[in-house]
Parts: sequence; structure tokens; C-alpha cells
Amino acid sequence: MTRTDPGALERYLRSVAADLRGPGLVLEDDPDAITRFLDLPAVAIQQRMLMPARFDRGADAVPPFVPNEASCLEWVLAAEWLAWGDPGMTLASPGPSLSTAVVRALADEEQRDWFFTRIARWPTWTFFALTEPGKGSAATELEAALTPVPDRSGWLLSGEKMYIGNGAHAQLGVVFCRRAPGPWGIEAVLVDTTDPGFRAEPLPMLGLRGARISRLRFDDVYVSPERVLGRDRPPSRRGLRGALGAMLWFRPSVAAFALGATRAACDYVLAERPALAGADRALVDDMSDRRSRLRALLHRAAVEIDAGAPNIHRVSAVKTRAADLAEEATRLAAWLLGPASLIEHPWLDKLYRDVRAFEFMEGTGNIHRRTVFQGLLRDDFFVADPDDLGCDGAA
Amino acid sequence: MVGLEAYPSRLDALHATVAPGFYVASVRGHVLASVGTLGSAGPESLLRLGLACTAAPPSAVRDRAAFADGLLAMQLDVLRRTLTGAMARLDGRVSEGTSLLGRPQVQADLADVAMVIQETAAEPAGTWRGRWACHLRMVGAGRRLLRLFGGHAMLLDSPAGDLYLTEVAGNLYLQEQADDQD
Repeated sequence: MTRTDPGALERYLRSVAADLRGPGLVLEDDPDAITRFLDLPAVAIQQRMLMPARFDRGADAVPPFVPNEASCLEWVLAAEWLAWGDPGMTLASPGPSLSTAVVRALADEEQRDWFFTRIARWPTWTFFALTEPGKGSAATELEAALTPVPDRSGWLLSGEKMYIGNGAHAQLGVVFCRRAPGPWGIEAVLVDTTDPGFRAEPLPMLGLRGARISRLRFDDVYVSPERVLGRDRPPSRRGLRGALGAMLWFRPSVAAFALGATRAACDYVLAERPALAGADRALVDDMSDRRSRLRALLHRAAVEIDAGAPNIHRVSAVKTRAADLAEEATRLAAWLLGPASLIEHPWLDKLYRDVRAFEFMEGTGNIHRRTVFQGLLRDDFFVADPDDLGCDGAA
Repeated sequence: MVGLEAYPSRLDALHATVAPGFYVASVRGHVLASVGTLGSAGPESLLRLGLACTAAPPSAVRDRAAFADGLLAMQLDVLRRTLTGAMARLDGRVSEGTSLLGRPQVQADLADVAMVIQETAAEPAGTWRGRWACHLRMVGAGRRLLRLFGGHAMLLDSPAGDLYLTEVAGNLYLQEQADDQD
């Protein structure tokens, strides 16, 4: 389900994503250097595709046929090609990020205005804060707490979040926290990083350094009632629902990142060794074949999400397999380019480390394997007739 | 947890044991050793972890078999310590009311890694092809272990740091080449 010609969109994405390679290496050593590359069209794509049209000022270099408020399939196409260019640059780019799905799903009109009007001021970075130290991304177990403010309306937010992309550099974000025990006691709140009590520090990362992954601390950060997303909905239809919905919408794009990186690793090998043949070539071809199969499954999963009939088991499967494949592809590339390839090919070394993050983004492989198993138990994993599910973007 | 300085200093000691007073060069003419001995040369990704990489000086030793066996022993040791660290970490983490170490899936992952360690340690590789195969097996086992650490495994000061260094060292010194057969 794409509103624009998927072939044209992909050609455009590929052409601008190629510009991310050099800057990606710069970010590797200086993650804050993203500010030097804000005029690259590929850096502005997230802003265009994740923003509602009425908030998009349209003052960037992205052509009009790149859609606002992308469908899941459209965003998957973009994520794949942007990651083919450079995953770190993609995740370092300004824009609504994962938070957009929560705001789109839960926010009332006033909250949408507050969030997207601020993001429309280019460049603005955002974060999506769910994961906690010691608890991971288990949404039902989070401990960051919302407590009532004595003698006035509103809440105080306390706790820590871990592994939050762009956390230390964002101007605003969505934080998941607990107002009361149980799954319906979870809330999603909007936080301005200039609010007193907010602190953040970038973490020393092995890979994906451009994403400026951070630890956040909230020491009695005041949250007004207007910043509680879905404040007028019943508890069962806001916090946890928003977290799960946002993660489900974005999970396919993590798979797309992984498939883009896989394609990049294979392309890199063939560019460096154009005469590659025999058993070595067969290994690369096998990698490309597996990527193509997962891409087809990914597009089907995205179409199901866009149709309002997501299958969480199949989304988990493709995310897990794609993350595994990206690791395999980069290991294979390092092998096929021979001894010292990780020293003599800095971009490959970077990709080799970057792709490992896909295992941990949006839930680890073991969590998703359990989800796949649940799908088997419910007889809800395999597609009855794969031909029933058309998709515009498979290529 | 495997310390940040553990691998670089042990690598220096291996150079000193195999080629006292010299460095051992890789097949492509590089030397990998600690920042403390080589200075801040080479990719930032290594320097951040305390390792440097330079072109080998003319005096560098090129008989690499003993050095390669030493690297594999170090990799085995890092893997084993990471396994121990993983068990301690998972035992201390609780999800849905139970220790993560109590989950059959986690137990199976840990047991598989332990079996790879045991198999690799059973006898020396002996050939370049065998050394490379041992290295790849241990890389796979290390990656499998790191998945049990969650996002922690992306931090420089996690076990992932030393495991990454073992992968780079293997890429430099252990990979089989056509002109490098027994």
C-alpha cells in the first residue's frame, strides 16, 4: 500500500541513500557531527515520511512524491534503503522517530499540535523511552513511576531509561511509565528535555554510534495532565496499547534496516571483488536469495499492518531472521574480503558492528522466537495462501 | 565481566612470549597490540578498546603459527569468562517473577556455548584451516552469548568489547589464505 509509484520511490531512496556512506563514517568518530549533514535529502526523509502533512513545512530538499505520514510499507521501503546507505546516519537524523506512532495513535488534537509543531522546527530530535535498566523492553514490567503532585494537578516522573536513541540530544520525547500497578497502570507521557529533573548521557557504544544511544534519568520531572497521552481514554486504551502499537508499527522497519545492511554488505563484497566466482560467489548469492525472501515476507507483514490486520507472529519472525541475516552477511563480507578486511575497510568494520544492534532493537530474538511459537500454538503463523497478500513494493 | 584492559595486555604478553623483544606480524603485514606499546595508531574502533594496529616493522616476526594458537587460547578464555559472566548476570535478572537463568531457552543457549568451548579446547587445531574453523565457531558462540545480555551487549565496556577484539585479531592473524597453507 503505497500512494506513490514504489519503483520511483525506491529509485529516489537509493540515489539519496548513497550519500550517507561518507557522513556515516564521520559520525562513527563524532556522533554529534550529524548537524553538518542536515542538508542531505536522505537526512530529511524521516521528517517528511513520519510527519502529518499539515505540520510539514516542506522547506527541505525532499521531492513532493515522497509521502507524508507514511504507511508501514512506505516506511519499510525507506528504512531499507536508508540503512543500505548507512544505518547510523538514518537513526541519527532529526524527526519524530518511533514516538510518532504513539502520538498518532493516542494523542488528542492539542497534544498532536504540541508535538508536531515543535518537530516542524528543523532540526528537532525526539526519543522513545521504554527500555529500562534491568527490565529491558518488557512493557508490562517497567518501573519508571508517575506519582501525583501534592496540592496541584499533574504528576511527577521518576526513574531511568536505558538504550534510548538520540536521548541525550533530543528536545522532546515520549516516556512510558507506571501510574498504578498492572498493565492498565502504564502511561505514555510527553516530556520536554528542558524540564527540570531531566538528565541524559550518551552511552559508550560498540556500534551504531551515530544513533547517540543514551541513558535517561527523571528526577521528579513535572508532567502536566495535558502531557499524558490519551488522557481522555480509558486506561485500557492508552499507555500499554500505545507502546505495543508503536512497537508493532516500527518493528518491520528494524527488519528493513537489517535487510538494507545485508544488501549493503553483499554489494560491498561484489564491488570490491567483481570477479568473485565459485563457492565464494555462491555464498553471496545465497545471502542475497535469503534477503529477497525475507523482503517479500516483510512487505507482506507491512501490508497486513497497513490493512489493520497485523500478525505479530510473522512480524516477529521476519525481524528476528533479518537481524540474524545482517550479522551473517557482515561476517561473510569480512571473510570474503580476506585477512585484515576489518582494518583495511573501515566502512565494512563499522557495518559489522552496527548490525549487531538490530538483534536488540524492538525486542531480542529470543523474545520474538517465543512469539513465533505462540503463533504456532494458535495456528496463526503460516499464511494460508501467500498469493492472497499482494504488496506494492516487493522487488 | 571481562575488563576493558584485559585483552590488550594479554595480547602484548602473547607477542612477548612468542617473539621476545619483537612483534608478530599478520599475513597482510599488520601488527596488533595495546595502545600502551604501539601508541594511538589505527582505527578508532580499536583504540577505544585499548588496541592499536600499525604496519609491521621490518623486525617483526612472521612465523605466526604459535601466535595463532595463542590467539585461539585467548579467544577461548574470553568466551569462557563471558559465559560465566552471562550466567551471573542472567541469574540476577528477573522477568515475570522468575530468574532469566531459569528459562529453558536461556539454559539451552548457555549449554550450547559450553559445548562449543569444550569441543574447541579438546585438542589444538594444528592447521590453518582448522584454526580458522575454530575461530569461526567461537565467534558464533560469542555472538550467541551476547544476545543473552540484551542491549548491554552493545556497550564498549561490556563483554562485547573483548569479544569484538578477538574477532578483529582473528580477521588479521587467523584467516586462511591460498599462500598460507600448511
